[in-house]
This record gives sequence, C-alpha cells and structure tokens, in this order.
Amino acid sequence: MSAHARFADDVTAAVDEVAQLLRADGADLTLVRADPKTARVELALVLDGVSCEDCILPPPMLFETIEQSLHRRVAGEFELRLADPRTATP
Amino acid sequence: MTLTSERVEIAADPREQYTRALDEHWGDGVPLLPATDDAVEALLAASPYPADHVLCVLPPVNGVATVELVAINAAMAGVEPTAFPVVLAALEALSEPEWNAFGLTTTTSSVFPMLIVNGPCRDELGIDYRASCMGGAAGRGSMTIGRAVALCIRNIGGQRAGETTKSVFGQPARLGFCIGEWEERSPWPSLAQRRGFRAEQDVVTVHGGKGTFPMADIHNDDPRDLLYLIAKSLAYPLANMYLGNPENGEVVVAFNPMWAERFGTAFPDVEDLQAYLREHACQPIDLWPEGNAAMLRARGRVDERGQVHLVDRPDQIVPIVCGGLGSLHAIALPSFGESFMQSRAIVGAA
Amino acid sequence: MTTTDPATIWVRRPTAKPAGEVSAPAFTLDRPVSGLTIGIRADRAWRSWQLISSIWSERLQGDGAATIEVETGAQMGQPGADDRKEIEDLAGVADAAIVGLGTCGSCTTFTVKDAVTFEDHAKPVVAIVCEEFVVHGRNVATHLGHGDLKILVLPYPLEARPEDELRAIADEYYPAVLELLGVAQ
Repeated sequence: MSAHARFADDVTAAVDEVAQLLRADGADLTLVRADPKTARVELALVLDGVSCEDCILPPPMLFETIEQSLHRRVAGEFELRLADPRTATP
Repeated sequence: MTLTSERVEIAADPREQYTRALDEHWGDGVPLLPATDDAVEALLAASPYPADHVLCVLPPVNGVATVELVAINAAMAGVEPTAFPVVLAALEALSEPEWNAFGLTTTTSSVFPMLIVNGPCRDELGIDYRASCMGGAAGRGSMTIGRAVALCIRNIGGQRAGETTKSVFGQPARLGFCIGEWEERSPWPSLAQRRGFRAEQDVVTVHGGKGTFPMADIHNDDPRDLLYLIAKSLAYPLANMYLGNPENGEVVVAFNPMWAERFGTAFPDVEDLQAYLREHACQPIDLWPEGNAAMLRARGRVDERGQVHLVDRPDQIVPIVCGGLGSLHAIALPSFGESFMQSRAIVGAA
Repeated sequence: MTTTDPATIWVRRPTAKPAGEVSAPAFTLDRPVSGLTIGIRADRAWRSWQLISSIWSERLQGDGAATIEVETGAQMGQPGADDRKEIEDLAGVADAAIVGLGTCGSCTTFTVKDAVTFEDHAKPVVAIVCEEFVVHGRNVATHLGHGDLKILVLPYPLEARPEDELRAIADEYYPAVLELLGVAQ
C-alpha cells in the first residue's frame, strides 16, 4: 500500500474512533478531506442531532482529542483543521 | 554492456572497503557502497545517454565526466536507477557557464551545489521536502542524489580540501544536499514553473549556496512584519552579495508551509513578495565600519536614502516552500554571488 | 565478474584520469619596456592590489612604457561577460600584461583565466598570486593547458596591510615582475 493510500486509511480510522465517542451524545465527526499531498486533514463536527451541546467536549479539548487519535495512527506530520460550529472560525 | 573504467580488486569485507576508500581518497570519509559492475550497469540502464557520453567537464581539475564515471560514483552513493537521471541533470546544470563551477569549486567560500527538485518524482524517489528536509528526514533520494553529485565533484572534478579548493570551512552540504519543494503547500507557482517549466515536469535546480541560514520568530504573526524581518536577516552585513556585484547571484529563502500560507494571503503574486523582500533586504551604510563603507560607496552601492541593498533585482530573492508544519521558521541558502542557479529537466532512459 | 579470492570483489575506480599536461607556450619581451604598451588588470575587490598595481603603472611609465589599466570584478552574468571582453580587447592591444590579484579561491581562478587570455594572444603576461593561493593558481593554469604561465608570488595576506607596507612590497617586487616579463635592461 502506498504512503498516500495509507494516509487516507489511517485518518479514517482515527476519525471513526473519535466519532464513536461523539455519537453517544448525538454528535458526529465527518471527514471532509484528507490530502496526503498537502498533509491537511479537514474534519467537520456535526451537532444536528445533539440535544445538549454542553455535553460535547469543549472545542479545544475536542481538537486535542482528535489530534491525539491522529498522531497514534498517522505517520509523519499533518495539519488538522476542524470546522466546529461552536467556534467563530474553523 | 562493456564498461571501460579501471577495475580494482578490493576486500569483500565492508569495513576493509571503507579503509581502502579512505586510503584511495575515494569519497568524503563516510562509508561507501562498492561500485560493482552490476550496480554500475543497473544505473547505466536508466540513463538517457550511453556510457561513454561525456556529460561535462568538472573543475577544478577539469576531469572528464563520462556517464560511466558518474554511474560509478552514483553506485558508491547508493543511488537507485530511477534516481540516476536526477544526478545526470544536476551535473549538466552545474556545468553551465553561468553557474561558474570553476569559481565555486575553488573558492575560499563555503559554497556548494544545493539541489532543489520539483515535480512528481519527489515522492517516487524519496526526495525530502517536508519536516527536516534539509537534514534528518533521511529520504533515500535526498541522501544519495546529493551525495552522488558531491562525489563526482570530488572524484571526477578533483576537489580536495586545502589542495584544489581553498574553502576555509567547507560546509555540511559537501556531503550532498538535495531537497524538494513542497509544491502542494505553496501559494505560488513552483520554483520550476517560475523558471519556465511545466508543473508536470521533473526538474532539478542547482543553486550555489553557502549553507543554511536559519531564521525564527515566535512573537509576530503579521505576514508583512515577518517578511520585513526575513528581508533584514537576508541582508546580513558580511553576506557575499555585499562583496561583489549586486546584479549577480540569487539567495534562496525557504518558508515553512504555515508561513507560506500566511505570506501568500498577503502577497498572492510571488513577484510582489519578491519586490517586498528586495525593498527591505538592505542595511544603512552606517552599519559598516568606515573601511567597508568606503568600498561600498566607491562601488555605488548606497542609494539616495543611505541604504545598501543586498541585490539589484527582486528576482534575485528566490522563495521556495518546504519544511515541516511546526511553523515559526524560515531558512535562507545564502548566495556565493558570482553564480546563477541553473535548472534542468530530468530525462529518464528512453 | 568474480575474483578468484572469495574475500575480494571487483569494483570500478571512481576517479577521472588526469588530463595530459600539455602546456601552451609562455612568452617574454626580451627588450626594454620603453615604447611598449603594458596592460594592467586590477580588481575592484582588492584595494591592496589597486595600490600596488598603480605604483607599478607609474614605474612602467617612468621606464618609458604606456600603460592601460583595467579593473575587473565580476565572474558571471553581463558584468562578467563585460569584464572578459575587456580583457580580450586589452590582450589585443597590449604588448604585455600584469594580471592580478589571486588572493582568494575564485579570484585566483579568474586571475589565472584572464592571464591565460594574454598567452592565447601570444603576449607575455605575469599573473600576480598571493602565497597562500599559488598552488591553486598553478593547478588552474595547468588545467587550463597553460602550466608554464608565469606567476609572481606576493606575500599573504595583503589586503589588510597598511599603506606604507604595501608601497614597500610594490617597490620590492617590481624588479621581479619585470624579470618574469623578460624585460631586458
């Protein structure tokens, strides 16, 4: 498997791990784009099914949790961008 | 395939080979791989030229670099056949008169060829352009291609410290320097594109660089402020370009991808970025003691505002994007001055 | 191809054969300088050589020669091309030349290169190279096919010396440069 294909698979696995945690509270985490050429990982937090937004990890903690999950799986550096509706900028 | 270079019998033991290579003055002091016929022939099979083709003449001793000789040195460096055309293209590039190999291989300066690769081949060949690309990433392409070129200059060109080269300090790039540009993270056209090549072409650019000059900032996010400081840093008072002709030579400045993105927002047009850098890459004449200042005045280097610009033209400041995502850093590859970078398309075997 | 000894292997030598040492001829004046035109190549980078060469120019004029002084400083680009053309033009009109200064790696290279231009025009020439770079200068001359190029060795370092020392050096070495040019008294 090429390094680029591995990147996509590893990112998907990391996203799924965190998404499962979020789904317990009605939220979700979707993968928008994982580009091995730019090493950018773009994710979006979905809060449509959430009844209690305060129950979701605060934005900085969520970002850190996702980053740690990615670091455990993805070789090399990456740039994480998370579109979190709770913050002014993604 | 008939090889014509002299055959030498050496010990099979790698440690004895290393000792023999040191005794024979083959190489740079780092262990080498044996240039066996099968290794050399595998490289020649990847060459667009026949083995006896004279690629160039390498100073200082004007050694004739046949493709076979280059392949021998590339085999010693561990170059893969797919990467051999990069070595050939780099040697052709630095042999162009405007690169001034004659001057650069003999000078007291630390200058040495620094290779910058563009195109799809970067990933295929393991040419580093991300984190630690200038040392530490250990991509096979980066480590072996640069070293092969360095070995050719040493073994074919006859560059020997203290003998045929008067370089006072040398520099780490004399073991080889080959990086890629992180084109996908650059807000501007790639270096190769700006030099007239197509995006899909594999290109190697050879820059006569004096070393790596690191710059860092943790206090300011403003792109214009950062670029102003970078420009001032490039114009350090003992830069070679203050010694010679300001219209000759280029200084490469490598931006990390995070800064590049910020700079690209402020300067979407790379020529505007270069103009901004050139404008601020200057120092007041008062910075220099009178002996130095007198020479700068005598050479017409002081403008009407009392500033001494590093270079005459914006295009002499050459931005590239590479390095890791940790931000905070840029690196310049200062110029020797009397040399113009040269680019060559990388051509594989037919 | 294998060797008979399992403890050895065959490899290819990575070094180029040295070029044959065929040297182009050097030339001498074999007459006094009076009535001749002597070209002098100074370098924008080296004030020490600018002073010494200007003193020698005056001495040559005192000996009845005319001098043409040029100042180079570039190796590349249009400035470099302009400098090489200026040397080429000077080699066409001067009867002999003094070319300096080799006091760094690349400037020694180009001093020798410019001096060779005069020998290519069959003109007597002396390249001025400082002691630290004379081996390098000889190598460059040899590898340009002009191993017999006349080189006058000056002390090193030169650039930071005070003016009175440079004047003394100019006076001390003037007879030597005439001798190398083959000036007959």
